[in-house]
Amino acid sequence: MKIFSSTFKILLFILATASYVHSEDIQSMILDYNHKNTLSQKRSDKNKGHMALDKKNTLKIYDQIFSSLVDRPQIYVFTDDKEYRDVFRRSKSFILTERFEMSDIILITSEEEFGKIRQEMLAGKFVAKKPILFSTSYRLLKRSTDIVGALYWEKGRSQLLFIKDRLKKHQIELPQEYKIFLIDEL
Amino acid sequence: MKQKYLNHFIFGLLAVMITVALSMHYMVAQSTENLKNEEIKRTAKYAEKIAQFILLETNGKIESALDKDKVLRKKLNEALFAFMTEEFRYIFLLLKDPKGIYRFLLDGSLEDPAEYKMPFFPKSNQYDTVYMMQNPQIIKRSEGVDQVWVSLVYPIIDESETALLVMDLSKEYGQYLNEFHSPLEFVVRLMN
Repeated sequence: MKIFSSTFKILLFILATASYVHSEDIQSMILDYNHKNTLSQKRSDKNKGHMALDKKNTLKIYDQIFSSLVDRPQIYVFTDDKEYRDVFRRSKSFILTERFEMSDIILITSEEEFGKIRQEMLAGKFVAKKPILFSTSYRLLKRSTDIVGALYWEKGRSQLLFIKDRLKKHQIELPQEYKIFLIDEL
Repeated sequence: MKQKYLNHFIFGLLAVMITVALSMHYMVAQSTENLKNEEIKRTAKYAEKIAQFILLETNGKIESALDKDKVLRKKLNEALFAFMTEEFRYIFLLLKDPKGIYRFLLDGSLEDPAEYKMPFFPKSNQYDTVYMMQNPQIIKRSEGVDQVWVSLVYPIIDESETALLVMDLSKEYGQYLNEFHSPLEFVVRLMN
């Protein structure tokens, strides 16, 4: 008798769940409404920094890009950005410099940093060696003809861009895989 | 004798339970798929309406009208913004320049909009397929794309060129659709 009662309970449970699947219940409406409200919250909470990838992948990408710009096993890199310094410190092929006039490549991540570099350039600090300027911003790339390329995020997509004439000034010939990102003008 | 019937009954009941659980599992999966397909169909309908509106406002000459008229650009950007509900992450319009580079014509993001004629490198070759075949395509999220679940790329054919309207459904919304039946899925798995 006991076994009949428990099987009956199980059957009832199955029927109840099956009817739950088929019914257009209020539950889904509540879920839907709550979800829409939380979506906008999640979105505003999202980190909007330019380094959208994790450190390992960021390093991997910059390793490839900088190696295509400087043909040397050890590349001297300068950046003022704390986050990027932290990333580049892990690299075997980059040597982080404290003084930008010593570097092969300068990564510019902000208007402020660009302003500083520009001042130094005007003061004639780059006479002996002219580092390659690379940016994480399209706007900076557009603003300054000294910046040869940029890696930035637009509409949730990573965008890599090199300007032909600017690379020519540094006598840089890009490897084949990067040539599709080469453009004449912005 | 009584025990034999009871055993048969229990086995029968177990078989029924397993069948019900399996069919429910299938129904849940099917229902999630239907939900996703409905969402994509709805997006395609929106794209069609937006395309009609853009062609109407630019008199069938999208690029030249937008080149000349900054106010019209602003108006159409705002029109795209109006469609930016929680489901959509980005809505923008692209055009290929004579050198084959896609460039932004319109962008519905008011917060951080792409500049007019800013270059854009898509992460999928399907953009070129849409451009050549002039048929809309759904593009799944590829490497180097963040915050996007799927993209609908819809061609807008004007008098001289083809522009591409891109409607990105957000990753959060995709996750939400996937998890829509998850409590029920959990119960079904327990029964299995």
